[in-house]
Formats: sequence, structure tokens, C-alpha cells
Amino acid sequence: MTRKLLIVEDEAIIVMLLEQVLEPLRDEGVELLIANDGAEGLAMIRAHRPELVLLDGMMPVMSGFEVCRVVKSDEALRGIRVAMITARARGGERSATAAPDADHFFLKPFEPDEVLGYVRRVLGLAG
Amino acid sequence: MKGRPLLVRLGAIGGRVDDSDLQRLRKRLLVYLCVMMGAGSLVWGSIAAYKHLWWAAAVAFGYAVLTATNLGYFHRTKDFACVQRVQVGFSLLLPFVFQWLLGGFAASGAVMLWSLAAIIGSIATADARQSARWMAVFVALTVVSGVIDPVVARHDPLLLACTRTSFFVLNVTATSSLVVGLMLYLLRERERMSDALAAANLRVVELNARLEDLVAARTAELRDLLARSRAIIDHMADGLVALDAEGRVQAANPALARMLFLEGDVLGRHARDVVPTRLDELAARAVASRCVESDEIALDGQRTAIAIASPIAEGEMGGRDLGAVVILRDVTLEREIDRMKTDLVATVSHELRTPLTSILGFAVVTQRKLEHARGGDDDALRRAVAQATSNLGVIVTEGQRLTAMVNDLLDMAKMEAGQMAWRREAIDPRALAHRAIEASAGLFLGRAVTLGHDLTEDLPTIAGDADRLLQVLINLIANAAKFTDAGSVTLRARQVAEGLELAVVDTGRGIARADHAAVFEKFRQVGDPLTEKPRGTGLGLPICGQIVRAHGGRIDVESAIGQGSTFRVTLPTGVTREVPT
Repeated sequence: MTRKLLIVEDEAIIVMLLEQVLEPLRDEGVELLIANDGAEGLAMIRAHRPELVLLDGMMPVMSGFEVCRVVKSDEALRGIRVAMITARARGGERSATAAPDADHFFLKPFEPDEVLGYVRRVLGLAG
Repeated sequence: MKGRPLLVRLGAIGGRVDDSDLQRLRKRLLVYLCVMMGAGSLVWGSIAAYKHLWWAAAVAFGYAVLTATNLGYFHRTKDFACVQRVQVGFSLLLPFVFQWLLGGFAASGAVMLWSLAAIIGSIATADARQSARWMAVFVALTVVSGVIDPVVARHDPLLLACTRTSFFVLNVTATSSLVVGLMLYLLRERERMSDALAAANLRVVELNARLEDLVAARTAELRDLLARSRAIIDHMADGLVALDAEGRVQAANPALARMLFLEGDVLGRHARDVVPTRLDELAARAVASRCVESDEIALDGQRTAIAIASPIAEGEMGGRDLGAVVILRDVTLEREIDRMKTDLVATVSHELRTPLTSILGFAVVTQRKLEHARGGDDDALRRAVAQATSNLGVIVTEGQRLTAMVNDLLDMAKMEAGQMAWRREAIDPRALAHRAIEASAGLFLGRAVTLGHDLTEDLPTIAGDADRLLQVLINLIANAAKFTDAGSVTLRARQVAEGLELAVVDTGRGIARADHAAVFEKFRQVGDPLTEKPRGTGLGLPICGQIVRAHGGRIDVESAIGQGSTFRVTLPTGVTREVPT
């Protein structure tokens, strides 16, 4: 069974960066799914049931905070880990208020190694 | 022409320098009386001697001698009361004695007319009461003369007829001239006094007119000054209201009416019915504390004003309280600009994060890839890869520095705008110190500077935002590490009277005394800006200051050039300022 990881991010460059950061995981059987806005992201969550979602906060159509709220209030989807990537404020204070149920917060600019390490931990992959 | 100086000389007898006008007049009249009656008695004496009436002549000449002696005495002693009584007494008594010697009342009654001169003299030179007494004596002597007349009567008709006529003419003339002279004198005096009175009256009227002019001029000046003060107050952009000690409105300007939407006359009304409660309270506070007090007041229409109340005291400090004057400044626009500035900083720092993420992220990812490629065979390629890796390291370091600046700017903007959300949790200072040391250990690796700690036992627990306080300690340690080339940096914690003291002590280059205050200012790094390359954002210490103050504490520095520095943070253990999270 392939492990699925969803990246929901409207900035193409950040998507590209995350793809490169997480590239090593492809060899370990992780499938990277990409969505370009919140609504598309939510649809893909429902369709593919990924194990982990890397979710940008500010996005067109539907914000990441909204997506997080929907996922965490849905019985069927609650088990999916959600990591917010925000530029809102330092230490995730404000983001924690906007999306209190998120499993983790990354503040832009994030450390590539940190993101990779976190994903590995969540997916139970050896470093 | 010769008589006048003589008269003046005579009039000066018995005079004193400090005599009043009335006293001088009385003395002069007494002297003139003496001289005139003395001369009259010499005439009497001569007539008596011619008729060989030796006793009568002796009495008349005796009167003249006594009068002269009395005047001499007066000249010497200036004893007016005594001389006046003696002279009046002689003048009253002697004519009667003379008359009896001449043959009684019936024989020479005219002589007693002379005694009237004594009464006139007493009226002119003394008061009414004394004159009445002399009058009574005169009446008594006249009655006595009438009673003893048959006893002293003589029978020498020739002599009697001759002397009677002479004395009658002499005495009536003398007494009449005395009365007329006195009347004329008094009349002249009265005219002189009435002239003086009229002149004085005229001067009073003139003075009065001048005073009125002066008052009118001063009043006009005052009115002008008042109008100018009023105009200044009325044209002030700030609202102004003056309250008396009872809190009633004494003065208010149009700006105040505009800001508070006041209608009608507010003068004399109580402040609590006119101005917002907080303004009234502020004024009361200023009066009570005798200090300038200020507060921010919310106005209708979503406007904000700063109110400054100063107590008014009469005269110098410590005078009677006269109430307070309050200035109200509309700062809605300034507050809006402040808010916009904070928003701008927040937005800019937010917008900077996405490009920063790409720059840093791609640099790191590229660095990793190059590291994998390092093991190639080609020497030139290996060197190029090593160079590129090092260059990327620079990009990452500088990118991180940029990130730190963005973070600091945002923190500062939020703290200045009061938008920072503070946590309030129990903090163990020992754990906090160890976290700070752990986080900072990396700065001291491979350097000639050691990082140590000096924590006393039983440190008090404090309440506050642990992450923010940790930020303060890490910042202070990083600063110390930056400016210390050899020696040690020590994190010290101990209990002091005010609460908990955390200090970072270094053996570095130190800070000049003059720069102590500047280190806590925004965007300031002390030292020579041309030779010393600034490192960091210049916001580290100001942010530390903001955080410490938000915890009700204080931060200061103790340092001298070459002596190292001690940055001290004192935090209260008791109640900390309650900030909603």
C-alpha cells in the first residue's frame, strides 16, 4: 500500500520547494499529492484519504484554516494528520487560534530538514 | 513799616517749632493782649499819678510790670497754659482793685469794662468752658463790687467826675478795639481758610478726574487683555475646560464644545453634567494629587482624545486650590496612523515570509544536493561544488538574519501597538535559566569564552510568559557572547527585595556610561557606526525592554569600558500585570 501525503499550497514555488524537500520519500514509497487551493485540497482529502496534509494557511477559494476545521470536525477524516504552514505570526500563536485542532505548525520560512524530519516521524519512516 | 517786624517778633514769643496753626494763633493773640493791656495800664497809672492817687497808680503800673514779667516768663518757658491763666487772672482782678481804690463802683464803674477784656482774651486764647469760668468770676466780682460799694465810696466829686470820664473813654475804646480787632482777625482767618478749603476742594476734584481717567484707561487695557486671552483660548485647536474647586465649569472653549457635542452655555454647570465621567474624575485626581494627570478618553463618534489635567493653585505652589484646567486633544488621526503603521509592518513582514521561504528552502535543498555530489572524481568539479556549497551557506545565514529581522520588527510593532498576546503561567526560574543556557550553548562552541551559571537556592516562582522571558535571556546571552572576546558569560539568578533578579554578566569590552540609555533604544547599536559593522537588527534590547516592562519588571545595565557588562532584569514575584491572552 502506498503512503499518501497531500500538499495544499497556492504558491507554485513553495510547492516546488516542498516537492524537492520531500523528494527522498518518493524512493521510500510515499506518494506526493498536490492541490492548489483549499477547496481542491478538501476534495482530494476526501478522495484520497492521505495520512498527512501539509496545509498552507492563506489560500484563495478556501483558506487552510477552514480546511483544517472541516477535516477535524468530520468523524471520518479526523484521523488525518494536519500540519499547517503559515506566515501569519510568530510561534503559531494566531494560527493556533484560527486552527486550534491542527497537529503541528510550521512558520514560514520553515527549515527544510525540520519538515522532512516531521514527515518521516509521522509516517513512521526511518531517517 | 517798622511796626510789622516788631509785631511779628512779638507774635513769636512763646512759640514752638512743632506748634499747630491753632496753637500758634492762640499764643499770638495772648501776646498781643498782654502788650495792649500793658500799654493801657500805663495810661491808667499816669492819670492816677497826675491826680496824686498813689495807690491806684501803683496798682496800674504794677499791672504793667507783672504783664511784662509774665511775657518774659512765657518767652523763657513757653508755658502757655500757665501764662494765659495768670494774665487773664490779673486782667480780671486788678481793674476791680483799681476801681475800689478810686472810690468804688459808683465813682468809677467804667473801670470794670476793662475786665471784659480778660473775658475776650480768654475766649480768644482758650476754650468755651474755661471762658465760661472766667465769665462767672467776672459776674461774681461785679456783684461783690456792687455790695461793698457803700463801704469803699469816697466823696471827692471833682476828682471823681474827671477820672470817671477818662477811664470810661479809655476802657470803652480799648475794649471795643479789642473786640473789633479780634473779629477782623477771625474774619480774615476764616476767609483764608475758606480759600484754602476751596483750593483743596478744587485739587480733590482734579485728582478725582485724573483717577477716573486712569481707571478708565486701565479698564480698557484690562478689557483688551481679557479679549486677547479669550481669543487665544477660543482659537485653540485643543478643547479646554477650567473647573473650580467645586467642579463647576469656569471656562470652556469652542473646540471643547465641538469635541463633546456640547450645546448651550455650560458655564457654572457642574462638570459631571457636562463632560464625560472620566474627564471629571481626571480633574478630581489632578486636584487631589496636585500633579498633572493624563488619560485617554473615548469620545462620541468613535473618536479618541488625550486629556491632560493640571491643578490650579493660587499664587506659588502650595496656595489655595482653585480647581483644575483640562486640555483635550483629539488624537483619532494619530491613533489611526499608529494602527496603520502596525498593520503595514505586520503585512510587510508577512509578505516577506514567502520569498524568504523560497530563498532559504532552495538554498538548503541545493546545498544538500551538492553535498551528495561532492564525492565525484573530477577535482575541478569537486572544488567548484565546495565553493558553491560555501556560497549557499552565506545565502542561508543571511536569509536567517533577514528572517530574524522580520520577526523582531513584527514583535516590536505588535508590542508597541499593545496587540501582543501574553501568556501568564507559573515559571520556575531555574528551569528557565537552564533552557536559556541550553539554547545558547552553540554560540560558545570553539570560542575562548565560557558560558556559566550562578543560581542561588530557593528562587521564587514568577508568573508570566515563559517563551518571551526565555527570548529575553537568550537575547542577553547572545549580546554578551557577541561583545566578549575572552573570559566568561554568566547567567545569574537570585532573589531580591523586589522579586526575582536575572542577570547576564560578561567580561567583554563593556559599554561607555553615556551609552547606557541608548542601548535600549530602537535601531541603535552603540559604538562607531563606520568601523564597526552592525550585527543584528538593533531591536533585540528594545524588545527585551518591552517584554520585561509588560511583566511589570525593569531592565538596566551596569557597565564601563573594559570592565564587562551586567544586564539586569528584575521581575516582581507578586501580582503581574494581567494581560488577556
